[in-house]
Amino acid sequence: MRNSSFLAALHDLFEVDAGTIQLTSVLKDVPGWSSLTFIGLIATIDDEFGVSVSPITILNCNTVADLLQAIDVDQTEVETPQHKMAA
Amino acid sequence: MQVILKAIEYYLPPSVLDNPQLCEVAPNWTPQKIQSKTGIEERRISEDGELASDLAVKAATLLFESGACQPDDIDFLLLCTQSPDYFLPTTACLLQHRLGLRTNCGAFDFNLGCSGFIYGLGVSKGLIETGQAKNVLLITAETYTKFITPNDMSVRALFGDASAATLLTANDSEDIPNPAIGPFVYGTDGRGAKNLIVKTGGMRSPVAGLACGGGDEDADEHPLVPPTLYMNGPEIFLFTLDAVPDLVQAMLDRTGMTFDDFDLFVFHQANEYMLKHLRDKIEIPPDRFYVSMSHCGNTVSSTIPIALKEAHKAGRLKTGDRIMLVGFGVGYSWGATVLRWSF
Repeated sequence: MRNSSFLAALHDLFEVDAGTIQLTSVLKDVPGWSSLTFIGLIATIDDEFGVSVSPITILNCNTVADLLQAIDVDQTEVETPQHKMAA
Repeated sequence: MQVILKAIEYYLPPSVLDNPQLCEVAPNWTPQKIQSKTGIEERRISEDGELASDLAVKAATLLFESGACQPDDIDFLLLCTQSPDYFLPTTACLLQHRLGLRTNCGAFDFNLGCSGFIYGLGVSKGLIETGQAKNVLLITAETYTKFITPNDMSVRALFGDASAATLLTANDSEDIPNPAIGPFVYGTDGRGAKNLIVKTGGMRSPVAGLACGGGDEDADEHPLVPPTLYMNGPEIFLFTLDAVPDLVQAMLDRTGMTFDDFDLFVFHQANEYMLKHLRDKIEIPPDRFYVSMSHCGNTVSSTIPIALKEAHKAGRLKTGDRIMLVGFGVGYSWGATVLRWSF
């Protein structure tokens, strides 16, 4: 369920026909992969899973399945806020 | 005595770079795709030899021509730019003379990007409400396109050149709610410096032929690399996801207000796709979140005054409206304030 929702969001992001992107798809070979869609991918992950995944983490993932695994790790880590507001 | 924002004018250079032109050099992009991923249809590009100071003169002249004030009225000039004419003198001093401002007028530059307008309002408030100035001319002016290499499409797609001139003035009338500008929340994290940077041209990496007087003798030590903008877009986006929701929450906490208390939200116009994601993440009502960048792109420190001007022209602002202004970007540097619309 979680995977199919994410795959559907990826199809929307990359504007490709249903079924084009599979769990085994190599991220950088997805049609339309560019700096613009990279930002969209971070936004999509934030929408779907509520986590901000770093660009380095994404670049270290080969396939969509790798990316889902990396998101799992991020979700279970205790988050420490990186930016503190000045009072 | 309190500071109010009395007028805004802005200037865009005439030369246009539109999405079909960008696609001619980036065949895997389409105009629709650039539009949907950035919200930008065209950017304005300064001519060779046309500097941020030239755009600043044009914007300030529009302000004077509007009747909002005359050069003699200005007793402090603030210029926010990262594209100064020289290392020294400060470009604001050159502008004092070019604009015909009084010689008993204070003037200085400050080097900030996308957060610059917020900081400029903060400094203006300090100058006026401590009696140091009555009329502050706050100019934001940038020519980032001169830092961009022709093949860096992702950056070319975003940035445009512009200048905005904003008049901040002392007000005694009780018609405008007090405070008309403020409170302020600021933030800085220099760990992000490397993600949006022009590395060469400063003292750490002088450019042969520019910093070394034009001779070739230092070419080996200082290779001729023109000052070039590097942007790691995904890292910058990640920063905004972390910093901006907290910044907005800090402002709500500071004021004790909720989203319902605000008539409009104007964020730094970085990229419409990114802004809409932030808007939804923060759960700001879409009908009160103003975006105006399709005609000029990301103009760095001028995006907020340009969006305010466009919102006013579109009838979205009336006197007394409460607006949350939020700036964030290069540095990393960020800031937010609350503005009561006063004209």
